[in-house]
Amino acid sequence: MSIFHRSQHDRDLDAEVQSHLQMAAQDRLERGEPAHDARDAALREFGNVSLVKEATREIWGGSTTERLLQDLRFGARTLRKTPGFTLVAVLSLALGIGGNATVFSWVQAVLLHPLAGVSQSDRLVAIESVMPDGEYHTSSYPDYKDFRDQSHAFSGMVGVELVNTDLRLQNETHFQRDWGEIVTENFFDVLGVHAALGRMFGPADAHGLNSDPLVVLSYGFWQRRFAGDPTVIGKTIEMDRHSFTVIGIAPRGFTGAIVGIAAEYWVPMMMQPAALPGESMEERSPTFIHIIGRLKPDASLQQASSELHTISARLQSQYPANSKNVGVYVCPLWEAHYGLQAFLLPVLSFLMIVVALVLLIACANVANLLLARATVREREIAVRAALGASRSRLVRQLLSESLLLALLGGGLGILLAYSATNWLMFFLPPAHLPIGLPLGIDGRIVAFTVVLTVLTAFVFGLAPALQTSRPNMNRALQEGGRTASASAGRRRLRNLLVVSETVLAVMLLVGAGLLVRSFRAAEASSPGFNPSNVLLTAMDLRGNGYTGAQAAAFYDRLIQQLRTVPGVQAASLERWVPMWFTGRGYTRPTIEGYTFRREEDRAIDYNVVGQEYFSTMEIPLLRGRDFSQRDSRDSQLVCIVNESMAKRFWPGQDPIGHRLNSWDRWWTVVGVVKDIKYHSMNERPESFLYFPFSQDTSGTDANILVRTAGDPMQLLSAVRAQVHAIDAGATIIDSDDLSGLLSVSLFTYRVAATLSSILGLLGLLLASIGLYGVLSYSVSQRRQEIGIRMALGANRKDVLRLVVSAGLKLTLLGIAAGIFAALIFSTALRSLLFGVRSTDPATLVAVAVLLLCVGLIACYLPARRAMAVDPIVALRHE
Amino acid sequence: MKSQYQNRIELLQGTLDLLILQTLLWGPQHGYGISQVIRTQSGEVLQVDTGSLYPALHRLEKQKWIKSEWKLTEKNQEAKFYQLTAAGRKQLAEERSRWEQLSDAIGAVLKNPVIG
Repeated sequence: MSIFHRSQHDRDLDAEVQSHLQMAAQDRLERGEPAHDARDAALREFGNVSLVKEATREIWGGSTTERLLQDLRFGARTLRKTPGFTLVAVLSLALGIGGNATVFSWVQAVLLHPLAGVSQSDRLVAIESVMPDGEYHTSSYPDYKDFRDQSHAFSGMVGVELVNTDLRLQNETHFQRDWGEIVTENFFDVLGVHAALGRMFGPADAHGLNSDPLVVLSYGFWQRRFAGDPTVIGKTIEMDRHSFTVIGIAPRGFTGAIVGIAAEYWVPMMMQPAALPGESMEERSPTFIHIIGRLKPDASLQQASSELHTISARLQSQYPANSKNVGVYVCPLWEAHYGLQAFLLPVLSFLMIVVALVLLIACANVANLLLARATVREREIAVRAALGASRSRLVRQLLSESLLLALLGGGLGILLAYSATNWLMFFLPPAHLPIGLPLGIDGRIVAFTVVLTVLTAFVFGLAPALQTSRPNMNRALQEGGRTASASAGRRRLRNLLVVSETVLAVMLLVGAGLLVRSFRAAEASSPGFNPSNVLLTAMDLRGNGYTGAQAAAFYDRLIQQLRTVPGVQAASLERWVPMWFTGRGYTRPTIEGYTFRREEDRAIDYNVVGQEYFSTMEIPLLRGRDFSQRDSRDSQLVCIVNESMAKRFWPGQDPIGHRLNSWDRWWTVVGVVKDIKYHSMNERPESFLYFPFSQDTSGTDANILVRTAGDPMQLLSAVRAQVHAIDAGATIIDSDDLSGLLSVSLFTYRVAATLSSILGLLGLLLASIGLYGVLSYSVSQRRQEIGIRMALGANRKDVLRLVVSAGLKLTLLGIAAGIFAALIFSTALRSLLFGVRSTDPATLVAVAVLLLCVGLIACYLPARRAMAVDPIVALRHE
Repeated sequence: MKSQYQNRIELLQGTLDLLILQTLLWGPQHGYGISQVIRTQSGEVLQVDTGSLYPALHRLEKQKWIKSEWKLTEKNQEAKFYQLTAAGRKQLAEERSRWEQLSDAIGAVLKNPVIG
């Protein structure tokens, strides 16, 4: 209604101005002026029609939104007139805002609302066991039951175990390995998840151990493997040689309760022994359940935590054998020590700081451009002020221009975020895990972006608007806007902006330089073994019904066979792949003749390896012997230690023949090998143990290693043929080139280096645009001064020095302050650095020189314009 | 050009309102007409800037001191005519007496001989 009114007012005013012009022209016609001249003269006499109209409209006021719309229209006109400025401003804002929206969408997906399809996930908390050594751990099923039944702060508590089993549909011959969850029967009730098809299992389905072979499938699994067939309900799936009946399909998007890992199926906890043999539902150790509780509406995290601590203390005294010194830890889901968020939290924190910096630079830049433009617009502003526009009105007008810029940038930014949201995968290690995160742009992210955009508009727009709206009217009007020079205050502000942009650019570039050097160093350094020309094949025979001993026999035979394949130089096997992300084993041995200090870390990582492992991996054997055919289950148990372990426990002695006790058995050291990198490139030397495959029958999984002279992928089919020659149904999980896998383990360095380089260059670009902007405007403002100087005998060199020294002063100031800031900032990067110190002088010098060069170019272009000033032309304007 | 500018006197804030109301005392008039009348009656000294005139007219109308109506001029052109309201007449009387006070006061100051 009021908008309608507004346009009626507008039409009325238009008509009134038109009639004024007509009458004025008519009068002139009657005085005998030619028709054309009369019309022109009337217009001239009237003055600036749109300004008059605007000043008049002002009187009528109108609602805030109308004024805003009107201001935005006016702003749009102004921006259209300066497309270059608008483009640069909008693009830098789009980068800044888009970057923030993208990272926010990740924070949202990983930390704030990671469990898609779960109702009120913010009321869910993770309950973890704390081992005596302080490590966070899963809990046992009896622990889960005690916590659930004895606590009052929770409206429900579920237990979840992540499993990776071999599945086969009714009419399939081969098994396929998929990730799923074994969950307590109340799982779907507590999480508030309802079936998309069929039904979910509930507490009523728990009749006893192994009595309810039911399975709920994920929507994605149903679509992929059953093509969305609705008759799937009631069909059976074979899982580790047991049949499970499909009773329901989970809603689309639901991926289970472990953040980031997409489960494909859910099996009731009572089926645990069938789905995952070897783990006990009655013992308090070992543990395998992740506990998640839903807080009652009136319960706080503190309440829940203190309640569980009381229960845990009771369990400790009640079951001293297994629960002694085992504590409990309660935290919001996003702080849990398992799941993808634990991995991504530091990455996201880093990214949040970085995108905020980029947005700040963009703001500084646009503010700078606005201030530069304000010099040119001084006359326009002065005229509007003279026509009666109040200061607040002018500020509003200028701010709405900023708002328009920010809105354009924000709109573009959200498009950017929309296409960039899947780039999160770039930050995830390529482990063999199905990643499931609710990535995407939803209402919350749009709302965040809108708020950020408006905020941004104020951040970069307010200072210029306040500065610009206070024109020196007399001077601006009298001088005809031609030579109005920037006021000292405005110049100071702009200089400050340029200097801070340079500081930020230096910081980003120093960070980038250090990270790139780290990546190079990590890439060039040797892990202590030779990963080239090795084919790695991951296998697990559990799903094929093998026991540990049977699997060991299978692998022994397989390795023997593989050594006969033409092209194979060496073959062996290991349980865990060094430097890889999944899995590691550790033991707390007793060492004969050595007493651990009270605070000493007793845990020692180990690997289980086959014969000729060290020669296959090219790890030098320093003393003693390799594992051999003699080391069987019936002979003396043996192990091999690394150099660090030998030095730690048997300094100055020959470790060969010494014994250690693990898993209640004595193992004799028969060899010492050189250290390698076990977990990451920048780890410190640590003790490490090797046990022979032939004496360890605890597992059914292994990684087969085959060394060849050429491309290891050539051996792929030969390895598969050998595997299936022994057992046609044996499950091969994956095969890959070991060096390719290892280069992936450098991914932290690569990600950090790539990302920081992009951001550093962006910062550099923005800072140089800022410097260029400041100098070109200062040159255009000082045209006359330069003209006079030249007329008085200054030559081109003097002019060059005049301009360049002004810009150089700013650049040098920025570089100096930036290096100082970078020295502080880069200590935070220390954990990401490898083979380079955070105060690396080469990086600092390189960045300083780079910025100096870019600064000089940014100065030179305006300086060249200044040198081209013709004193005659410049002075004629006076 | 220069002489013309020198002869022009910028109107003090508020004075324009007084002149407009005064002009309308003689009957309804449109914006163009008002500016012509002020110019002629001031002996071409007072030039009313349209950028001040129209905002002033609309302000006065908003304050209900004048009201407007679209009518035909004697030359048969459509124009928006403003006319005084009762409130406007009262306002005119007040502004006028204030102006006279101010004018007398300034005149008195200026007539006194400078001492020193």
